Amino acid sequence: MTSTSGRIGRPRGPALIAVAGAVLGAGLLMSSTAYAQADSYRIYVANEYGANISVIDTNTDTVIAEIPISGRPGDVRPRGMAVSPDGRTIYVSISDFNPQFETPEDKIVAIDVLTNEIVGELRAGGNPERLAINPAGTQIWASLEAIAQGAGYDINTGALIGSFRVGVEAEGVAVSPDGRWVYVTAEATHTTTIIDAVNLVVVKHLLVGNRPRVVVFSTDGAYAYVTAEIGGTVSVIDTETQLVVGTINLGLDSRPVEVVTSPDGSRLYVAGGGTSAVYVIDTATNEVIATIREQMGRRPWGITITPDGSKVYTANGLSDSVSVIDTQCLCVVDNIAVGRGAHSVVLGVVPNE
Amino acid sequence: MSKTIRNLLAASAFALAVPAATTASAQYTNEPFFDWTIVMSQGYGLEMALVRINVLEAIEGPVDPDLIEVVEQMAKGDWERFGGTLAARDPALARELHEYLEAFEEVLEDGDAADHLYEPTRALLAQAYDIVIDPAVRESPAYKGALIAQLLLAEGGVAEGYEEAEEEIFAYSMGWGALQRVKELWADIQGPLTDGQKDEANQLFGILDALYPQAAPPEEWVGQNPEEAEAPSQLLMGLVEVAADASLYAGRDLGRLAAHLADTVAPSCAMIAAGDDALAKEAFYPAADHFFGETTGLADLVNLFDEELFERAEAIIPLFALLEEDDDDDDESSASDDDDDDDDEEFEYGVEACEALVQTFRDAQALLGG
Repeated sequence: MTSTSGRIGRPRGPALIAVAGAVLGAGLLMSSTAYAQADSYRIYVANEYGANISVIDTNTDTVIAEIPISGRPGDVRPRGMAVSPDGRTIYVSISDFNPQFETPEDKIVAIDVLTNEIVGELRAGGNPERLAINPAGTQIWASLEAIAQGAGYDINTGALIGSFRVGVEAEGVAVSPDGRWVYVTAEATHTTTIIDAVNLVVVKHLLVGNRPRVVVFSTDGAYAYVTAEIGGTVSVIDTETQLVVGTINLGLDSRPVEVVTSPDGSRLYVAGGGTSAVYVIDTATNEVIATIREQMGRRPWGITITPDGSKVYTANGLSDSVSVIDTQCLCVVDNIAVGRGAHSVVLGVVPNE
Repeated sequence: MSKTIRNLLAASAFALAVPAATTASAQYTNEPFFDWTIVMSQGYGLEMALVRINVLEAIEGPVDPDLIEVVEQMAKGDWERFGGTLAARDPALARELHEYLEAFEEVLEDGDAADHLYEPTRALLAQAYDIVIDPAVRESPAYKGALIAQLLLAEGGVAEGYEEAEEEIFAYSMGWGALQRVKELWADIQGPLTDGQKDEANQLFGILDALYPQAAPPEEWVGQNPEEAEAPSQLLMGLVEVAADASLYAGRDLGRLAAHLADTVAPSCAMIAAGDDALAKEAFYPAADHFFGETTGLADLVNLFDEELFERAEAIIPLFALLEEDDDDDDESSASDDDDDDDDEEFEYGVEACEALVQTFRDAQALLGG
């Protein structure tokens, strides 16, 4: 694939870029919860050590494609992913394994869900680890691990909107449902930095749990939830006061990483890498209401959920698998072999057209 | 449901959640880095001296000058972690051991073999271990678990050794040596785990063994992922905490840690005033470990919130503890120095600097809410 030097779009000429722009433009019209019932869904798994993406059809829960990201597994790794608001484009952060250096491998690539082809790339130096898209589908934000920054890019032009100092070893990133705020976690400083995405300034750094990993917003945007791997906690941030208002303890051995909210907002599902478990939290009480361990793959790290909330998928790094959880019985109903070092997992939409 | 109602509902959970923060810490019975702060540093010094000897013995052929620099630390930083206590309890043994530790550097720099030094030095270190570390503590799983934590994650350990090898090639060898000792300690404490947990640990040790197949560093380091030992070491730590029934991340409550470091260092100021410098210094090593250590992140956090406070600690701690240089840190601090030369506070070794460090930790505690 040819580098587009700073544009997420098809890399070969204006017409192809326009096609990509149209795909992204469709995302402006639909929220993630507005998928049509007849749409079908695909699960994308970033395999950190295999340097590829496994694609699973949720109807059959089988792997239907493997998308190579680099011919140099072990040197180049895909990690965090984000999905366009219409679900049709998957964005993957790619970086060299050596976080000390900025390398040509540091970039974000876009995958078309319909074709499973890489349709564009964007340079994002500084070891991008995780990504988030704003609700309008116009900006992509990345945590740049090696240089302690959160950076935002125009999704159509690739232009840098702004880069901001955050804590050391930036990790998780999320954009609030109203698009106003960007939250970036940092592992080494145990902080979550709040960036004003309109005025483009850092508002504050919040101390959260020890070794924070991933941040997500509640569906109504009232709270942000930050997992803390060593703390074994989920910090609850009131987004209005921008204060930590609670801490949900999962146990020091839980090692939580990714977290996802159910579509109706009533639950959080947290991947517990340390105990090979998924913790289910009631968001009304912030209490753990179930812990799913039986038949789970080892070291679940990534986690996502189907739009109807019926199935949860986890990326299991030590068993190179994806576990499928039925949210009615809160039990594992399948385990699917994927590539080496399953890191993150997201859901894409194939529209019923 | 309105946000107000949700806050009210959640309040009952949070009322539990706040004490549960204590409960979470109390998930494990022991906190060796709080209960035995200086003892753990003394143990680490003794262990690292043994690791250096083992590494030197395991690498065949002429001794590289860079390896001599690694080995000589046993008579410097390693020694200062426990030498004051040993000298207070058995001055003759302390003198003899220190002479042996120093002899390695002299012998190696003369181009001679150090074979004749290995066994007597190990024997003296074993005697010193018995005198410095209470046997009841030494045999406890919590102590062994905390040693594993240091050998895996601290400067000169398994994860850092692999990461730093690109700059200092014999950091790799130290990582290898630390891993061999970790495996011995792990064998002692893994008993309480389930078979599944033991299998997972074995898998993680397999990954680390593959990264560290021998003591001698690979001839060519280009292309190695420097962080490859970090993930398995961190995953292993989760199992070590369970096996040892001990919380082994001192930075889980950073405000509390800052307060504890102030309390740990404070008595040393009086010792320095009384001329007991060797004993006084022993408190500064764990303070440096926990302040600068990557597992706590305390220095990075203080730097993010209050750069001046960070710079004060960064200026004072090296006056009291011999820290192994980190090239990356040097680069960052030199850039900072260029900017702020005129504003830098200057400190000299002594009571005043010691008290300033105690106050710095107290300020950090206030900043972080400990």
